[in-house]
Amino acid sequence: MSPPLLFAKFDPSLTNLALVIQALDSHQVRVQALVVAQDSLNTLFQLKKGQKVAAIEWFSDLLLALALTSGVVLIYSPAENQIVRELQLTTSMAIADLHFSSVTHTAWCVDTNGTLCEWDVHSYTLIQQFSLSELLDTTESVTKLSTVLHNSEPALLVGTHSVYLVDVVGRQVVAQFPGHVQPVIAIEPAKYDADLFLTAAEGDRFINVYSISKNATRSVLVASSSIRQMTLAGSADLSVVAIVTETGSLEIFKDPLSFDVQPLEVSSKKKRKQLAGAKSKHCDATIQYARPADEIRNPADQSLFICAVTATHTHLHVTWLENDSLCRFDAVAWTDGDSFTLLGHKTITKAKQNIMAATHTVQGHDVAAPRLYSEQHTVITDGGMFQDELENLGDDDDETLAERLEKITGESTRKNGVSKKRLQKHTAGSLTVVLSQALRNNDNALLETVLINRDPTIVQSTISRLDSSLAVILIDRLAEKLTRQQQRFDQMNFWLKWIIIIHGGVLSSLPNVSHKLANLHSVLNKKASKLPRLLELQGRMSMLEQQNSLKKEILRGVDLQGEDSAEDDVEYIEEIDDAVEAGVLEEEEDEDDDDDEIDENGVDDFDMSDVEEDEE
Amino acid sequence: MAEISKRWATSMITGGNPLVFTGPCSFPAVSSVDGKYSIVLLSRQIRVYLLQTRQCIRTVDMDMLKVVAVCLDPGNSSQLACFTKKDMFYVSWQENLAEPVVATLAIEPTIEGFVDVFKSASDCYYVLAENDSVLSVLSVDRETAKSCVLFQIEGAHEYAVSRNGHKLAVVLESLQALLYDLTAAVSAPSAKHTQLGFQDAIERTVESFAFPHKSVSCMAVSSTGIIAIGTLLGHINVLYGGSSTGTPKGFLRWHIEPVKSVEFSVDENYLVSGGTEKVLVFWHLVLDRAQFLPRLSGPIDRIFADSNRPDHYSVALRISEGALKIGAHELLVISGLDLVSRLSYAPVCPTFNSSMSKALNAARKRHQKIGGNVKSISHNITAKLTMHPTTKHMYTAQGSSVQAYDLIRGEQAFVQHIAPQVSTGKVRSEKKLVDPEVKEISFTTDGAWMATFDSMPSLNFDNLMSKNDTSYALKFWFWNESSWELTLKVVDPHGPGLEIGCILSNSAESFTTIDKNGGIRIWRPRLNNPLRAVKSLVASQKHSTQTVWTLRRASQTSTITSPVSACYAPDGSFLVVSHDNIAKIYDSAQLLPIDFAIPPVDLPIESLAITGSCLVITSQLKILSYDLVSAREAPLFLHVFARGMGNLVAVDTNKQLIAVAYNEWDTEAESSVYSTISVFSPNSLVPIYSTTSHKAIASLATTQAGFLFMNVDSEVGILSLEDKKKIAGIQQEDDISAQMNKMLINAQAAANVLFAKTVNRKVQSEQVEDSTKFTSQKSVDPALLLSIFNNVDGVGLDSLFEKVVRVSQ
Repeated sequence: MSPPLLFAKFDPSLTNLALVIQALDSHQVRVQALVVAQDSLNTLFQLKKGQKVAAIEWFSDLLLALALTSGVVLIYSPAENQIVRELQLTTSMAIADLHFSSVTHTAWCVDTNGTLCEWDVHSYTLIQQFSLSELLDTTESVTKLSTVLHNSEPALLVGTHSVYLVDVVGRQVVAQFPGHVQPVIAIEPAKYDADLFLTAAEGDRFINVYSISKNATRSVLVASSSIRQMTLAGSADLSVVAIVTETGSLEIFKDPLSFDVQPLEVSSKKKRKQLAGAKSKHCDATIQYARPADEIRNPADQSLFICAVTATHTHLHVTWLENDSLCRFDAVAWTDGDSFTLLGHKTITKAKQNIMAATHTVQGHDVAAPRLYSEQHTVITDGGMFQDELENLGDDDDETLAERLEKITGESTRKNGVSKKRLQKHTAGSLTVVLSQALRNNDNALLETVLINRDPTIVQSTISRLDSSLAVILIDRLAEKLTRQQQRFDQMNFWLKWIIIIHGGVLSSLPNVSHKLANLHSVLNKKASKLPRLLELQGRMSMLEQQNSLKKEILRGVDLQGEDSAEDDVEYIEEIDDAVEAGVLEEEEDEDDDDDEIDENGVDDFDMSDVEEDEE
Repeated sequence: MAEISKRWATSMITGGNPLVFTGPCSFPAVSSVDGKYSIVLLSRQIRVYLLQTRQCIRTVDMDMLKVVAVCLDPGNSSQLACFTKKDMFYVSWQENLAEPVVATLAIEPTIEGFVDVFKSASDCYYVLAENDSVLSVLSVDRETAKSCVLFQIEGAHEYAVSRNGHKLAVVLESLQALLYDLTAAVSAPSAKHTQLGFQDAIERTVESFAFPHKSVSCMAVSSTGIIAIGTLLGHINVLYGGSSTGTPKGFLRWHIEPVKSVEFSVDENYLVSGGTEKVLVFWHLVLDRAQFLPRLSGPIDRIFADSNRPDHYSVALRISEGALKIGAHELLVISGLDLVSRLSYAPVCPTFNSSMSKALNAARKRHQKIGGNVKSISHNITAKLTMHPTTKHMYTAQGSSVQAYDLIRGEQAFVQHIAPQVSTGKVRSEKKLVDPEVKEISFTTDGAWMATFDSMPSLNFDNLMSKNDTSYALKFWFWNESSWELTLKVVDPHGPGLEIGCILSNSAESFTTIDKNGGIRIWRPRLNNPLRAVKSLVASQKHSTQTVWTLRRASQTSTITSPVSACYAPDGSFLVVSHDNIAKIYDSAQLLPIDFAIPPVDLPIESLAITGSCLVITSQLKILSYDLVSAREAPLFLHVFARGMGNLVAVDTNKQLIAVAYNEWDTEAESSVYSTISVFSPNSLVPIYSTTSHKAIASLATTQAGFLFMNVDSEVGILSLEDKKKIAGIQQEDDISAQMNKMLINAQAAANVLFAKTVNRKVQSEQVEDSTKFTSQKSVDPALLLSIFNNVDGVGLDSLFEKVVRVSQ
């Protein structure tokens, strides 16, 4: 099996697939519905550290049994996603195989020592237990179990390197079927014909079809490479064997149990001599799953690794792993009811599934919520910025090849010159390199880091080493930043000043300079248009000041009359105020009121003027 | 004449606003029993949404305006029981039937002041009614629709019933809050309801608390008897009924404005409250802890927890914060686990210039004063619609955001904020904060660019010098796959203080803006970074760098501020601009005036359009068409009087048709309006087609399929040619109704496949004796059958038939 996947088994009703996955240092059991949309079951159960799965078996549609190497059988319920029962083997040996018999409706379990147990799957009680070594004199350990009806009595097929038919009632070995040199990994009794069963062995390309009554191999199916999994289905008339090889491809044999078909090829290999008399045949059809041509990124996409296959009386159900984690399923009809439909090689293309999870958020933002306003990456300009089309036509669009060539060569020479110069001039006190980088690449963040500097010497040296052609762009950027945040003028001021001082000469010699500087002009214009308002404010302030001084003068006059020193005026009035508030003094109230009135009148007057001015 | 008129047809596209139920228990979004579907009830449509995909899978068109309460039929969950004040009817929501109303029963005797259905049992419905502050609990038999009073209480001010229908909490005008246990009544079979005697039994269970009724704004009661009362002052009082010990009272304080709605979660561990703050507050009743879900898109009017979907909350959010009596609601279903929306339904939400009720009042007054034949509505009740040229979304401005409405799906596509706004609800003095307002929306002809214009008045807090300044911004947006991306913002695009009155575009690469002083400016795109521009030209990559729009042409402005409008000639060679009542023609390349005099009209021109060689001029007083080639007036001349007439005229330049809507106040029936939409050809005074309705039309727009109209209830319909194949086979794919159908079928199919199996498992047991009842009619769900057709390859017809029979049995 492919590295992460240890076991894969379809449940009897073909609604779920159980997977055992190696997850770091532990085993995971996953049960996944064949049709995700129909059945939302998709569970993941993490086994404890050290619990290694040796075999899995579905006891029913709802219960999965996990046989562990510690000699424990865990009964796992996918619906509840928990272990509902633990069965402990008395021998505490590692379990070699677990088998749920549809013949006896009990679970059979064998450990590596060859001890066989039969469990009742409803009450989870041990029905019987016996050791194979009592019956059999062999050192080979049991690797696979299966049950058949033999003479209308349930009998056990025990696979080691050979297969033994064990009468479970009489506890004796009835027959022995040698044939494999490797441990048997699959035994498939034919459901419609109790006489026949198929076996496959580890690392072996051959499937043996045995007849119990004849105690011999009836035929041999030959796969193209070692067999990993085998499934058998069909009726006496029409049957199919589908196998998955260790390369992950699917091979299908038509009518493996009807022996009147002429063998396609008689092998002359030595190994097969022992099978003399048995007919061998190669597969009739192969199915390959691949990505569509435009989606093939690596060789694995050309042939998807099939994890498991199972056959029903009409269909083959196939599964493979998507992204090494999620199973995808496909069903292929192998018969149309009375004839075999698969022949030859067939490639089925399956596009990578786009998992359409219902997204309720887009980048963390609720889809139902309004889309928020953001001007982070927005250019902000002013209505006064006027750019004529002529300029645009001049430099961008109608560039001849000659001009471009000239530009390229000119640029390269200039670049060389500049770089040399820069190397020579490079000092610690300048940010020219960073600044030109930011301007050339339209890198806003970088530009910010440069503009954050306010040290006049750094600004001066940076600007003085800046290429004049970049100065225009810098001016544009500065103007944009100013439009965005008016209050940053203080910071930008330094930079603007030095650009104009140092590059002013070059700027004024540029053609179309008025268009190039339109942005800056409009910003500065806007700034300048604040002047009338500032003057207005200044006027108001001075008026207030004068009113205040007038008030003081008047008060002083009053106080002089009341024989008080001019300097104590303010304090004294406050005290009076307090007193008035406390209700101690009453006579002074009138005066205070008068003061207030004056004050109010003053304010009123200028409110009026304010309104008038605004109206104007 | 008759032959032609047959070819036009009027059909409604949208379902209208979600219903607003006054009762405490009904909500216009009902969850199906399995919680997978949401049934949204609109004023003229029932929409069924599959929650998982947020898709509408079925619509049932029917007039629902009179429905006051709704619940799932307890006997057959594929039917919806709807109650009007007089009768009840069953609607099948799960399948498309020729006649969606399965049965109608008149309630006998009629219930005065029907408010709500609070519980549905297998044999009867339990109903609340309020008449002259007498609150009654009644039962209505499911089969016979016989109503029967179970319990009455006088002087009820506010009331609530628990979700299971066993507790009734009432705040009386006599400063009392009472808690009743209705178990005796609601657990008795309906046959015994006539025997009465419940009044005493229920009154014996009363628990009384002193409580002032004046400040109560909303309340809820849990099935364990906890009463939550939201107040106008913002705090929530919790009265623990049924507890003999412990604290009988509690306060939950967070809201600063009136609490609009309180609701217990289904497990009753939480109390959920909401109000104008646009914040959903989850109060844990035991741990005394609160959680908040802020920044919902509108003030919360109703919160509803559906027992069929325990971990979700349905919320009704108010869209229009204006003075409309019953505001339109947006419905939102929020998952309680991640507080992310699972479903939202928002109706079309345009900005009407003034409300219908105001306009009607004014019209009535005028009628009383002048008398006689004055029927016109002088108020501007119109709203502006803009159609996107390629996506066919309808754009409407609402405050500082723009709603794009997908007419094909019949639901909102998205809402985009056009300007920064306060996303939290405004309370108290915050209401003085003004949000910017979007005034104009326009698209380039390829639909890739949108230009919007918004104005933002300065905050008037401290009598600042800038208090009368309004800042204007013209914004250029680029359609980036699925959303608009702001690329350029131009502050004061026509200079300080000048407001844009009209934006139009006649190509993919130009916008023309006209300010209210008559200045015209043309904007064209260019690449932002000149250094990059050269590179990208070489690489011929169009959108690799940022594109900005720059001003290329500007004309002189006058000093008079007045309404403007403009239109381009079909070939783009000239531009007609109207300022006040004068229209002038300009050369579109250089913006130089062309010496061609168009006679002035007497009132400001509201809209201009050119079809063929005819210039259609709409003023507040008349609509006239002027032939530019022969320089004289064309035959079409209509005398109207309505403000906002510009929105009520739509011109189809391709088909050379003009649609005009006109609203009249119906003097016969008070407070009702009579509206006419007529389609004219510019060369004839006789309308080609005319349709009337009793809802005032607020806007007309031109689409390729026909003329789109919207009425004042923001329902959208279309006037289109009936048989499109005969007229123009090419335009078939633009047919909105065909696309709608296609979409519905697809969504339905997806839903069916998704749930075929799960539905299959629910084999409902049917009682034999019920088979005579109409409510027991069960239909075979096509979804049941669909699963059979999975993997059908190679299955014989016989076995297929067998399978079908097995499923349908």
